[in-house]
Amino acid sequence: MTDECDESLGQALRRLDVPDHGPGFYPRLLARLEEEAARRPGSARRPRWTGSPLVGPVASSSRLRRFALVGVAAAIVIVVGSLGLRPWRVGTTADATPSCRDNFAERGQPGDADELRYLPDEIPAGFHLRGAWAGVERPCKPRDSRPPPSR
Amino acid sequence: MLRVLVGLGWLQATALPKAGEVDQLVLTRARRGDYVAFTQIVDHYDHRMRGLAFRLLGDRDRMDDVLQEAYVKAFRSMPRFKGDSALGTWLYRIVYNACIDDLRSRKPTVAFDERLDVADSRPDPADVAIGRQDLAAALDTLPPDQKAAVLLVDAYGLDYAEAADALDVATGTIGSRLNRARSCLRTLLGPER
Repeated sequence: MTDECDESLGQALRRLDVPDHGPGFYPRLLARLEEEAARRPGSARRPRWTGSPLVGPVASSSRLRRFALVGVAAAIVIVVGSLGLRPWRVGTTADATPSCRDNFAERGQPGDADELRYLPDEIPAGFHLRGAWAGVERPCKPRDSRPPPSR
Repeated sequence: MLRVLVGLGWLQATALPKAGEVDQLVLTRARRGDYVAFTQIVDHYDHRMRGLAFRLLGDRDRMDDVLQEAYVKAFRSMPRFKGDSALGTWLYRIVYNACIDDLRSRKPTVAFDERLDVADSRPDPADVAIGRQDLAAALDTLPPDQKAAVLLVDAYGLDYAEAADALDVATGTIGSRLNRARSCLRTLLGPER
């Protein structure tokens, strides 16, 4: 069997009238395609909706998910904060300085509990810079006689 | 008759159109759900799809309704189009099946297969169309499967394998349908052919 094509018949068939679409065909098709695209999961094309995301059309479900995630994250932060689960103590320099000074007087160096996070220009007299701030321990030169800033 | 028409120059401007494929980027975008890209695909193939649907259904309103459904269905199925067949062939299949579904649904009292049998066994279509000498009328006498085969192969230039793919039949079936359709049309259109 060969794939023969009856060319003269084909020409005649192509000459037959083919009606155009009726009025409204393309707008209707476009609307349906747009609706179909919006319905597709993960579609980048959203339905035009300007109202609340909580009462929007079906396609706003991903927006609802996003809002839900933000809400859950906010709730976690609030709960953790209210339980006082902070791994560090927050106090003013004036609070911490006497304790550190006592420890320093006893052991000649700050104790483990006296790891303080100072800005370099806030190091009180007699304390050492350690770790990332200074790289190596070295005496911290007092800037002046002013008291440590209260934070 | 066709030979006469060709001789008169009536058919001069109807060289077989080559249905080039749409741009790959457009196809990719359409598969990702870009309906604007899909409308470019519709533009590209719409004339042929209209021709097939109108010849099968015989009515413009029905053609429009069926093509609406077929295009939406095609767009919905785009992500599953793997390119195993040409995009045009794939669209022909969707449109043809939509037309057949429409024909079935509008004649619920007679099963479609029975109707095909009736169409094949009824008196020579030449008796129906005799005197009209009209290709469209002659074409209307053919059963849908033969009509689709002759349109896809002779009018739209699909090879047998593509037409078989579009109509979801064996390649040999396309050959036999074409033979019957052409023979019938030649009979109807007069002794010149």
